[in-house]
Amino acid sequence: MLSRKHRGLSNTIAGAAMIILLFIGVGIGYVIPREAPVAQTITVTNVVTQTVTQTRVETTTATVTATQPATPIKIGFSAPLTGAGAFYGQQALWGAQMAVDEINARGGVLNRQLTLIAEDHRGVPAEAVSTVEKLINVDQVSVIIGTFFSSPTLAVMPIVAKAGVPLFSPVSSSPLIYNQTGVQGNKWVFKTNPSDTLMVRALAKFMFDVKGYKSVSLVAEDTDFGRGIVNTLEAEAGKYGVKVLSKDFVEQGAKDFTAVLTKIRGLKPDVIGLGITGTAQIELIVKQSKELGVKIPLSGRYDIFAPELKPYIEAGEAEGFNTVTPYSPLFEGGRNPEFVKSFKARTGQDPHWNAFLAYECVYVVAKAIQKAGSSDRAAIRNAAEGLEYDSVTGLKLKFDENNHMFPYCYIIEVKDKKFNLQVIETAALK
Amino acid sequence: MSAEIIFTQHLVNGLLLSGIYGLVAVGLTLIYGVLEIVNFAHGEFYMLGAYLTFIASAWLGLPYYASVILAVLSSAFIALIVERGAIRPIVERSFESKVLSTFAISMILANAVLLLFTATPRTVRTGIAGTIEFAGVFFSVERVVALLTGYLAFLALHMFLQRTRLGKAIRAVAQNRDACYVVGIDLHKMARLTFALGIGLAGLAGALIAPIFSIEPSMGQAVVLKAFAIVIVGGFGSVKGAALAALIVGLGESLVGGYVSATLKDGLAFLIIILVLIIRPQGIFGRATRVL
Amino acid sequence: MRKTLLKIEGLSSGYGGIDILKDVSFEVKEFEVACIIGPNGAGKSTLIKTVYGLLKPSSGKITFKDEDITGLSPLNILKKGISYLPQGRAIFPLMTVQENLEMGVFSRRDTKIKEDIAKIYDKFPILKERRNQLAGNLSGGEQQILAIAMALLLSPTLMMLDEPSLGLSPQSMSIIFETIKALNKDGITLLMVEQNAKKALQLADHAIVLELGRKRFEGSGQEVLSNPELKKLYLGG
Repeated sequence: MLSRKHRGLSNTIAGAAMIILLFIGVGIGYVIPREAPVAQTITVTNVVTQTVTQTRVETTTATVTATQPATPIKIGFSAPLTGAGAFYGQQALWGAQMAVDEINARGGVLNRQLTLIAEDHRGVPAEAVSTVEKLINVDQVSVIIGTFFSSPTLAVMPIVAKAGVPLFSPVSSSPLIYNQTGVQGNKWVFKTNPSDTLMVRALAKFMFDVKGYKSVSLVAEDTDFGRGIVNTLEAEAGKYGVKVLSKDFVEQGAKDFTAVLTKIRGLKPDVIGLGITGTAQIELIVKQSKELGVKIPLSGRYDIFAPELKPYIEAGEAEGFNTVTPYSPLFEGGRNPEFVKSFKARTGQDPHWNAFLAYECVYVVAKAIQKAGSSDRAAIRNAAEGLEYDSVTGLKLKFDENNHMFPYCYIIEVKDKKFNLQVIETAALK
Repeated sequence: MSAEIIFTQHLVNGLLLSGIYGLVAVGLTLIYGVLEIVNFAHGEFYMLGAYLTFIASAWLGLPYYASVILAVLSSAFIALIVERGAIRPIVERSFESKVLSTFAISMILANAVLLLFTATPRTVRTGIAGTIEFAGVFFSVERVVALLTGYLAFLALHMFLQRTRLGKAIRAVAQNRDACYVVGIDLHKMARLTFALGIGLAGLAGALIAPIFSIEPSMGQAVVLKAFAIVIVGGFGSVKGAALAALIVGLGESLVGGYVSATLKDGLAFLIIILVLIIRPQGIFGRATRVL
Repeated sequence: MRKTLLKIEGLSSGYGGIDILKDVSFEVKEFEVACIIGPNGAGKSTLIKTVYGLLKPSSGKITFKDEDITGLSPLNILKKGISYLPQGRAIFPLMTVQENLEMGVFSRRDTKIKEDIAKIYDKFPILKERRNQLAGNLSGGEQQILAIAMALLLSPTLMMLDEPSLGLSPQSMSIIFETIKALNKDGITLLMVEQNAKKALQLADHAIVLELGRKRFEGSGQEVLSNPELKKLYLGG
């Protein structure tokens, strides 16, 4: 055994070794490239701070203007940049940044540049609240875009209303948001995408009328989003006289679906209606279904464009899978083909709906600022009320009395290893 | 499809689950038995095992089996360093110091991995994904491999503890520390060995689960809570108790998830704790009759 | 004159920086039976734990066979030829008697292990009878004999026993004292702490009386037994 003095010394050495190992590990982490390549064309990207819980990326465009440089207009951006929704957050940030860069290249808004300040909430409502509070109080942003998941959005809505900061929500789709905004009470929240009620209504028509499914099992995550999907699908199934054989809620980010899938295998429904976010989750559902011999098509709301699903679609193991999405890169109307092309050139990837909706949302925000003639929070809010906007899809959009816009939604079905597309006007479904 | 086949499928699913729970819980109980430390960092070593497998297979391009072996060995090696730096100095201290120390290890490991890999889930591909059908019951190849490897590891551990000189010495430490002074068993050496062994088992569980589920830095937290439940149900310090309790919890979760509600599934282990604590506070195999 | 085996000089030791044992000095000669007596809290166990290296002395020196062993670890002290039987039963209750004896030779790597275990069985036939029983199922006396047997397998020069008769029936107690006497005859020097002072002193060549951590008296066992004051204080009259 070591003497006391000796022992103290070796403790110090061991401690130092642990710290050194940690730093070597961190070093390796920076050297080895992250999964998704960062867009090459973003002009100047400064990683300001990188802490354990939050990643803050501040991007400014270095465009030299002849006139006296005015202070930029700050746009806050809160999204799940890591965690189960990391793919969505990254896509959304790319889309938003692309719009900001385009606008700045054309001279900005009110002769001022736009600056996007991005915060990561990892998909956790409590963290969404702290990112929004930081954007409001520390960064003093004029407007916030976010928060890309329904439960985080619902959590931050009262906060932006109290602080008097307009929040533009591009992706969250829970019908609970519609029931609280505009004339319903919260005048500070605007939403530029269709809610699940309308999208699921469109999907139900496809499932129960076009495809003729007679029975359905519902599986959704236990969140505002998931419960909303199940409630709407159940109500729609009732209208079409379709039997709901089972209804299961799983934890958000759940990994083991075998119990539920085995149960569904015994019930033999014509279709499984999902309400699942997370690209890893949908892959696990498809993988475990395959392993358990469950051969029932998936419908409902999930990410059919998830990169993880690609191999299954290409292998013909996802035939008949269908869903409804708020955007599709396959849509050929309006200026969409041009958008897809420049997004691909910029990031090397197809635009996900998160990218497109965030992109459009930035333009809606820019138009509201233009109309307001100032970066004042209240002025932007006032200008946004009833604002009209020409979508990239060619559709003319306008905020209704509930501060909602009604762009197209799309029914997607996998047929012969390819996506089949059907465009639906959501305003008609109200 | 008959109700019997569905029931059998639920049992098979549960069996696969309990193998993983068992490996984590047995390591936890072993470390408690020998070091008298409740290792709050145990779940993070499970997570580390999964990430080491990911590094070995996705970055170094090693085949899955080699990745598992590498992951187990490196988690045991990291355990040796951690034991030296953070366990040995506090092993004679109060219960609170031990709790704080292992808690600190847990936070350092979880946040280091979060910093390196972000919270984005990763997937480990084995190249052995597939399914076997037998009389209408489906077996996922990856899960069967995980189950067999897990039970094999368990058997090997049992043989090691019962038959070998070192294994017996580990049991000796758990049974009577004072007597170890008489016969000259080096307590520090046994503590180090046990810690590495327990962590190696947790790392193995992580390596086996990695291809079945996606992996993320927070994956250890949910599992360690269940492992604690299992260890409490089985009796702290009892290897046999932990194995039996893992079986009960794994099968129970599968059946509750299948027949009652998927949301209730994760609460089952804790419901069992409450019942056991009321009926038999010392666990199924309490300290008095533990088998270590 | 017998040679000095263990020499303790000005030894102070205790727990958490507080000395329980204060400046104690005495010697143990070769082949004798030395006995430490004194009331609870006098520092008897602290003394032998310090000699065995389980506690670090705050001052003083311990010499064994003319070699300074102060501050060595228990494992190294064991290698020098000192064995220690702590209070309670120093056995592994969930292993068989045979396995316990195998653990007894854990630190040995030589080839004579089997032979030595056989010798132990010859010396203690009761252990041979119970060889396949769990040690936890033996009687208190049998467990203590097993513990002594385990210690013997390391062929110690000096054996230190902390209250070997504690919690035993009178019958077992006399068996243990007989065993101790036999060990001494075989040439093992003994240093023991005993609550059961009367019986121990009858056996002891040499007695040390501790009180509140200090040495109060030193002499032969008979001297303590015949000293009326000491007798009144420690032997209950």
